[in-house]
Amino acid sequence: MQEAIRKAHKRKLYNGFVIFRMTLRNILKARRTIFLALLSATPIALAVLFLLAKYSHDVGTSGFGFFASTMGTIQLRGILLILTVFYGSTVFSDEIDRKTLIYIQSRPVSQFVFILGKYMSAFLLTAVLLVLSTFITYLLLTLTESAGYFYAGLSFLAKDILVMLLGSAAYVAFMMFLAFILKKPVLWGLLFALGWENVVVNIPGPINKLTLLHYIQSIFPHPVGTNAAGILAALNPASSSVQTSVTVLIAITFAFIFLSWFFYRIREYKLN
Amino acid sequence: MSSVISYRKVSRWFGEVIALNDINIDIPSGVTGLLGPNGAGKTTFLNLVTGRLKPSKGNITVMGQNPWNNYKLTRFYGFVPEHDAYYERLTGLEFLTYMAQMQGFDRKGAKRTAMEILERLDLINQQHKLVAAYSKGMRQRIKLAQSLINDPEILYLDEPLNGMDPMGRANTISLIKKLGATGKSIIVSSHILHEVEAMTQQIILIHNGRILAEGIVDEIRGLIDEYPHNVHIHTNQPRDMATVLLRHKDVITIHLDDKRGFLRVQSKEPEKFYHTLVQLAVESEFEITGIESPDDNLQSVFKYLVK
Repeated sequence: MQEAIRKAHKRKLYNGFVIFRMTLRNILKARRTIFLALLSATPIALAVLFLLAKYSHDVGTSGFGFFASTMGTIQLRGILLILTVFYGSTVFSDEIDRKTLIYIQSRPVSQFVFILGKYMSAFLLTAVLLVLSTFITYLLLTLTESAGYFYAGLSFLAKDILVMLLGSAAYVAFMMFLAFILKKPVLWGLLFALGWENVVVNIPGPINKLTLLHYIQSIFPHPVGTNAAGILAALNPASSSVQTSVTVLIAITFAFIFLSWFFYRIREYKLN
Repeated sequence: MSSVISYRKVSRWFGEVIALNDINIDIPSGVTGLLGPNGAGKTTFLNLVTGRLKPSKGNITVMGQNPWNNYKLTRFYGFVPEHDAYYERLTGLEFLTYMAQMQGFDRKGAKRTAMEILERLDLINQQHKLVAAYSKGMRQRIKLAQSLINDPEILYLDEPLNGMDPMGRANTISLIKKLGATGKSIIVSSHILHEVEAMTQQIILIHNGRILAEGIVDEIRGLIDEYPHNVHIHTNQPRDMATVLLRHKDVITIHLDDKRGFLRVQSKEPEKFYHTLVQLAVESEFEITGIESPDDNLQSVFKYLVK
């Protein structure tokens, strides 16, 4: 009996892995991946521009300072959100739009395993693009100054990557969920990410706790510069504790994976 | 014969539209043709039996189990959807290998099984080509291939011959008959009587969401022969082909669309006509890229039956 249960679990894991690999392969061959890879390279391009400017005249800030503000504004508030919108929401909606879901539904793959396989592929791709771009940007901006800068900022880099991973996990889960309940999830996802998240997080008072960005910033606040967003952020300091923020992000990740599974299970997909 | 699939007072509606209405039927093993014009309820019938849709009323059992949301039942069946759905960025071999892996094959076993099926369906030379680059007929065959990957006990085929060339049709019909003879339960939906008739004598006639009749293929044959049968042929030489076809007595009229490489032929003896087409495809230089049979004539028979 126990052997049979063990085998069934092993089989489920294997099926999840197959879904994961097939999805990954499909996404990697998609044209949008080239666009998203280029987008995720924006901080690298900015780092190169910064270095060029720095060598031609005094820019008044260190490479490390530039790295910290780039991560706080462009990476966490822009690229992370756009990547998770595209990967999180299309990982399922592509199956509906192309009507290929019918092939998965005709296989002995449990709904939960399917959701998990899809989620993991979207999360992994988002994470790889973010981590690579962050790491290369960091290398460019610190090693061109001195090896000392590189080692001194490593803990900052590690925290940044950790925050990005936690944030991606939660956003991918949420964006995937949108695809289970809404048509045109990319559009809704972009509205949510660039509208709600980026605007509400700056509003003083408890309302900004309704954004994921609030918890991401609470774990590891970044200097955001002297632009409007920076001034608002300074007026409205993150108030949740690190422990609370980590717990909320993890809880949101699990909650939306579960909700995606729930809606996938009860909904009918009439693909013809 | 004991029934593998059973519908008891099953109805299904979408909003105010009734797609299936009070269906009671037992389907035994062997090949069963689900015949009806477009919009008759054939696809809803198959979506219900495969568990993709839930009946609004009534019960369905497949091998004694309720199919709704029952993914474990998929181990025993294969399904060919009507629509043209495929993973455009995968090759034929990759697609089938992934499908086999989901059925529980390890990587090596999955690849071996995929190759065997590709060989069986004459797609082995196209194994490394992207499915998106396949012709319509090849895509139909790859859909059939994925349904056979687990050697299922039940096969649901929704319009499997749509868009196939004559050779592809002949091979697929022969394959379905062979599979039926091995004791598998196969439900083939079609709106073309002679297609179904070529596979089985056991038919279910469905119209406006109701089952009109079962197992009366000869009667239907008689009725349908009174109406001219429409066939659309896609070819590289429509004008030359029209000239050749006009010499055949079973052809009544031909409408030519030179620009689109398209012929609309009316025949009173469809079986004879299809035989002629197969011969033409084999013996002449005409390249037939697709054949479609609109359901006008079948519609007329249904109108007659429901009067």
